[in-house]
Amino acid sequence: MKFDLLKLVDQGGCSAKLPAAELEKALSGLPKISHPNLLVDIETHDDGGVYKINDGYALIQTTDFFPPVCSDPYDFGQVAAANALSDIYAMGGQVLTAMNLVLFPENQPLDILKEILLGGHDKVSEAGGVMMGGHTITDDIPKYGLAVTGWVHPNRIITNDAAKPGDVLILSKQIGTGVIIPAWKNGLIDEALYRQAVDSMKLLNMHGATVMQKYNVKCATDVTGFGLAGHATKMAKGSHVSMHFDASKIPVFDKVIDLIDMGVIPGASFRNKEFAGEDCSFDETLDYNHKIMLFDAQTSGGLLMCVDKENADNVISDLKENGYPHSAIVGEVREFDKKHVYVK
Amino acid sequence: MKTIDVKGKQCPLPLIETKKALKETGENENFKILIDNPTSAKNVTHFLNDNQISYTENKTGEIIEIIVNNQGENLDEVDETAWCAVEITQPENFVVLLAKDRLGEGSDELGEALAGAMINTLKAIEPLPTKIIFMNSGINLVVKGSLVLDNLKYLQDNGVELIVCGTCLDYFGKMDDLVIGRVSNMLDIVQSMKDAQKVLNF
Repeated sequence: MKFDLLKLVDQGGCSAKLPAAELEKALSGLPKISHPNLLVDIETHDDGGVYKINDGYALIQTTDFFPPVCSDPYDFGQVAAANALSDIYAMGGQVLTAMNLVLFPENQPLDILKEILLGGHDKVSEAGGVMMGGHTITDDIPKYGLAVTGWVHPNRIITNDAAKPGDVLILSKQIGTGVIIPAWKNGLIDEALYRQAVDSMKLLNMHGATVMQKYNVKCATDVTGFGLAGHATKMAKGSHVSMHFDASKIPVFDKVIDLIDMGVIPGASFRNKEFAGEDCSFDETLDYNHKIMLFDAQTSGGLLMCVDKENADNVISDLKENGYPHSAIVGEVREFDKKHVYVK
Repeated sequence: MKTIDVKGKQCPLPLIETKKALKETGENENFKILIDNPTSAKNVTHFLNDNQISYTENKTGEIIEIIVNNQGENLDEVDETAWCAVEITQPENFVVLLAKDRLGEGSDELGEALAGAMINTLKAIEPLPTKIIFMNSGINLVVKGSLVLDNLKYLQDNGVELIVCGTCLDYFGKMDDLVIGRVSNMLDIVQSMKDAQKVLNF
């Protein structure tokens, strides 16, 4: 019988992330860090921290790891690595080096671990980065991810607090992986749909970052654990603007709405909605299932970019040519008015 | 009463079964859900709250029993205006603001003794305050010569954050005399008071 990593995860379908509201509380008492070389710190909850080395060179550092989100160990290694690398791309950078972060059960075959690490290695290579080593400890539920160092020119940093009224919002991948994974685990969908989601999670945001730099995009984030609406809320808050989304334009995997209607709603969606819901306003025509979809936690999701209006069509066609066929204009940025996110 | 037993089933199966039951059960008919893991139970109650479906929840040992009162609402027509009003449950927390080094007006001597007694008493309050903020002459309680340093040390060791107004230390020229607590600014102080469920102001 083929080994299924998801069988080792008892929380499957209920995301492993600490609720954002709790996290914010825990972090609020920590001393503030300031340093002349620190260009992007933890204040704005950006994807990574940026440290200036000199006027032409800044380091981006980030890390991410989590329990299995898919059945096959090699897939999992690739997904976890693509997800960790993604923070570098969300800030407009490219990858330099990476270190493995591994938690693995004592009593499971080491071949599985090898497959996971190979997946990670392959993605770091694809990113043009160098795997430098790592650290492994035992734990009942396997977890894998990377600590990553990348670089960006200090004048070309893309942050999550620089959206301007008039910008067009572009999303480069479909959403719904948080629904697809538990649906697959519980035998509710066919393998083809599951494969689509895994392939999407494995896809690096590397070319997305290149496209953003080509068109001088200044504000973006990758859509991950807080869901599209959660990340949009953070970005809009940080930028003091309102983001207006058109739900019908948001790219989403097949059957996701049907699955939500059945009740495939991971706990993370509720937590995300609790955290960001008050900053969001939903048109009354939007049904419950679509709202929940907007809070679906993504693993290795796409880039949500704020793009100059005149470049929007070019950005979309460049993204489509570079491996992101589902890229779409999903909304626009306006002056702040009452709520940070509006969805119709 | 119809019973849905989802013990041993992981999220999101309990919610899937609940939604099925909501569609199948007749108007004003109650049904019971049995769940044995808190995460799945929370998922179900979150959904019920979101959609304003009334229920009662009981816990017996490991088993959580949720009785749903199905009002036969069409889920698609549920009033969604409550969307943004989801209650966030927070653990009980309060902060103490000490903007004077004594309590009350009248006798200074008595006021100082009362301040000492109050800080001593705080140790017995359950839960402890999350933060104590020292402002204006309140900073005399955290500098050299204060008689309550031991009690403050006990509070700090037990997780209470002691926040001291830096401007106030400066004003009284006591920055170098600070014995305990973290020097901070007005933003931090105002934010702490805003985030607290209660502020005790002495």
